[in-house]
Amino acid sequence: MPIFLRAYSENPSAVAGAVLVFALVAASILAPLLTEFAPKELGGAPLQPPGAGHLMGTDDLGRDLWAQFLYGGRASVIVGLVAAAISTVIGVSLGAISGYFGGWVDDVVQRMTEMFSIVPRYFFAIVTVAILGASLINVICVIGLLSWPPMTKLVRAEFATLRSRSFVDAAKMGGEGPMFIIFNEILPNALPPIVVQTILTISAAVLMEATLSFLGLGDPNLISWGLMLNKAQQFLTLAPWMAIFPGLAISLFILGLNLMGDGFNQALNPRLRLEARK
Amino acid sequence: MSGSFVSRLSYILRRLAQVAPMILAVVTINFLLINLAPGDPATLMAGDFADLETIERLREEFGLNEPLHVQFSSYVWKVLNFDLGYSYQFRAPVLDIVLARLPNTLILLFFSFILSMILGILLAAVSARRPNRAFDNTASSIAMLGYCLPMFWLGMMLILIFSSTLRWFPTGGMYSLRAPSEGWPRMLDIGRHLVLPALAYAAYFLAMAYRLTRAKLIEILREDYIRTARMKGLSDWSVIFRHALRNALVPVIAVMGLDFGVMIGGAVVVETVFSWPGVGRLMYESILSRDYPLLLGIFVIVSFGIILVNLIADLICAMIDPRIAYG
Repeated sequence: MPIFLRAYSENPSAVAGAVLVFALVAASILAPLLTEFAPKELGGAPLQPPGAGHLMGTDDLGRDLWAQFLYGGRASVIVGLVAAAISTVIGVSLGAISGYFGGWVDDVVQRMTEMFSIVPRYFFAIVTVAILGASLINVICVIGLLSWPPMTKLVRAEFATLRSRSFVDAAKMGGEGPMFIIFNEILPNALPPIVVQTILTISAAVLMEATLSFLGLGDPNLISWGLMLNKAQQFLTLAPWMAIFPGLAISLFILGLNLMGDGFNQALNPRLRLEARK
Repeated sequence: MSGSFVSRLSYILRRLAQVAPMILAVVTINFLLINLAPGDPATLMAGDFADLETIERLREEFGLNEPLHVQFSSYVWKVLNFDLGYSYQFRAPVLDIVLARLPNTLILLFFSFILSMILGILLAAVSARRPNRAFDNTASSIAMLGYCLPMFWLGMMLILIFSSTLRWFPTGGMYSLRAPSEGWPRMLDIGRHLVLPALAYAAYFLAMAYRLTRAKLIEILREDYIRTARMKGLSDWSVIFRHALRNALVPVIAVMGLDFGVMIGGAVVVETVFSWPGVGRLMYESILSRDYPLLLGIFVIVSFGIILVNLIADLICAMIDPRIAYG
């Protein structure tokens, strides 16, 4: 077993995080197998408390909440993954270019990153989605386009130190071009912190999607945990189960991702690995 | 002394010079949002409450038949003159509506921020004295939770537990219906309404202040000058509070200042959950009723506020830590 996997699996909270995340993702993918109801299927008695027929009760229209809980995870997973992918691609490319080339390229990228990191992300996302329209694509794009600055800063710093190492000089002597050096020589060495940052980006994206949906700015046709909480607000005292379960899901998903992030960080960083063993 | 004063002054001036382009950027983004939105900007600005005449008047007023750069410069001029448009839902200028709600949000922000900073830093000091022991492990686990719970859900759960079940606090709003209108009784009434939203709000920032301060303190407590202080025979607490904390606080204040942006995003959800009559709730209402002039007006005002707060946080850091001036 690679040393990092062993270090990861010896860390109980990191393992717990991975279990949480995989359980929730699997539940959302296998939703049709785990419930006989469709998430928008009407028919049950409204506001039924959790019980035998309906594991998590029903909502105000008599729809099964366990089905909504399972299918609702899909929105979080899709938005989390795609938005994080967008911001990782932007962040890594900009960071790599600016760290590797330096000079005026670096200056331009740096100013751009500063601009975007000052923007209050939540606030800006709320306004943009409210005006451009609440659809899955808009939500994903807004989150993806607002989340890259931390990744850029991180990758730039990694590249700035790695580019002066002798293996880069060796590749240059061998006649390799900058693209080859960036992707095949430096990037693999900068991978550990990028992996950790990507996980944290996913968790931030999931939270942002839930917040937008909670404010009624998610895709209205797509059941999501945030949307379930938005509906639950009016019935908070009457039907608390409508609020408890989806919120628990969001919290556990985010908690799991953060624990995984910490776990990867410790397992991939030899210095922290030694400290944890002490 | 005078050299460090000059360099500090030049840092402050440089920092102030950054403000103008940022303000211009905010105004530009706002202008782009108006123009990128689907449909005619005039229809958009007017919102759902306007009739055809108003739309035509707006088109005239905003010079929508002029070329874009002319529109832009006249828009910038208006914003610089504090003319942020008119809300057709409230039938009042946007600036007046926002300013009327602003104090309520500031009360919420102020108490949550103070609560999270003081508690977070104190708990971090206790944890950092003996890292990885029982207290530290418990506090750190709770902080991890506070960091991960979405504010709006935490708020809803607080209402469920402390309002609907235990009936200790009201479920929302800022005043009771039959509240006394002045003096201490009124303050107490507002205070009772403030507890739950402030808690829901502070949890995340408390966790954040705790995690940042703890990490920084543990790092600092390994340094040589701390060993020197210990060898002088100072107690753990006076080493932490007199020597280490001062240096640990600089990055914490810097990050918390930047996070003020997140804090204002949080105001929207917390004020929505607790029906707190602040700017965040106003923003939610403006989204629900598609009152776009109001929404964009709030965007401009709050963005200016954030630029100001970040500036203040930077200046405070420069005052605490003279090294920044040379950077």
